[in-house]
Amino acid sequence: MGDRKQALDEEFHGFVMSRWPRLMRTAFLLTGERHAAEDLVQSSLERAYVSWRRVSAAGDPDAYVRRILINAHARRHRRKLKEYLRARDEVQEWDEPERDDRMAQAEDRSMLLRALARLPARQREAVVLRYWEDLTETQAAEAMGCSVGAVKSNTAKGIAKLRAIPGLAAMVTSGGRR
Amino acid sequence: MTIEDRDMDDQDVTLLLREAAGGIEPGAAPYAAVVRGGKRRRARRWAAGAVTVLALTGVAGTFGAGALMDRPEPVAAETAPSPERRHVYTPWVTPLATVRDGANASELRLSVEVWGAPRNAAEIREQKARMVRHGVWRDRESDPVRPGDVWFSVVATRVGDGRRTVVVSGLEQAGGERPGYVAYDLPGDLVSGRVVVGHVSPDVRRITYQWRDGSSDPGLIQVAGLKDRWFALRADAGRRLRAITTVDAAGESKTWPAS
Repeated sequence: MGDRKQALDEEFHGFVMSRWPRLMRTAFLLTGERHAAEDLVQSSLERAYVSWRRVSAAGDPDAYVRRILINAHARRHRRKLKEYLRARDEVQEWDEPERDDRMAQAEDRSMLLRALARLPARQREAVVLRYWEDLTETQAAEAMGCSVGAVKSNTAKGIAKLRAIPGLAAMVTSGGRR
Repeated sequence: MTIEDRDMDDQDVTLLLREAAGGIEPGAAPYAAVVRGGKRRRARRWAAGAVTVLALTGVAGTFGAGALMDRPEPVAAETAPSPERRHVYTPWVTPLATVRDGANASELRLSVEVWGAPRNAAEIREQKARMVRHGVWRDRESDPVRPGDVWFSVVATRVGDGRRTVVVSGLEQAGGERPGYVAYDLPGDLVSGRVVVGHVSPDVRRITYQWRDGSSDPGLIQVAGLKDRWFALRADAGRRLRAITTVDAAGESKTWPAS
């Protein structure tokens, strides 16, 4: 019994240490803010810890934690929808940045994050899961707790909105990122 | 194709996201904090759907007549301007129950400590310093620290050596949709059998644990500094829980079945 618990603890430790960077980046894309990302990932892992025995037995802890993380993000977004939209509207700036130094790169990132932040939460989640996490539509649907059709629809709408921002399209072809 | 009218393909979107994700340095994983938070969540056993908590406390009985004692009515929460009077720097302390454990010949006092809401960064800093000295900061730090947050902890103090254990802690949930009641299960290493403490929303006037062989109505206690009313129950392996019912001030009842 004690050995089993120790094995689970070690397994959880390994999971946290190895997945933390990736989860942080996913959460960062979802929230656009470092502290919010840390909070989201940490609380998701805490929930995973509570059920780790079951999670471990099910055999796909990544999918489980991803689902927790997306659910938590959706819940928080619903709760703060008004403030969130107001805050984002205030920082709407689509001027094309200078792009020949580090500052320009930081501005690019800032612009990308603002572009993501302007997407409705479900569209943002779909885009991040499909294009950053590289999940299939079925896997994304599982993480978001919705149908494959909803994933397709949210992804298409999100991408269409990103494409409609001229500065973003231009960024892809400059700054040596292709 | 010019830069201005160039369209993005899927590969471009992936590149853009990779670029944006590169804007953060993830740092080291806070493993210890994750485990600490996980253990606290496990202890809390939020009862939103009732089923989880009922399964947890599902074999319970009330305290014996003399087992739960010392339940003074606490003073009402004050709303004074200074942080001292708002209990930002020292907690309100409301006794919940005394648990006499015949098996271990020990006595445990349960109380709820409530730290008033800091209003600004200076009050947050000072409150943190006081919490560190009070020995609760390790439990406090994993919850968000923001102005306006009221933080509580249920503390078990062993009579004799005075050893204190924070068994449950959290932020007061303000507004919004809330479950009618919340129940926590105390760690088994503190008492033999099980002890449940919980709280109900302010409009609830009575809570009833319905067993297969009867029912129990734990008394509700107004904890200083919190809106919710609290209760305590002693669990016993011999009884099976059927449901929990709450009755509000208007006489409306809600029932959460155990399964």
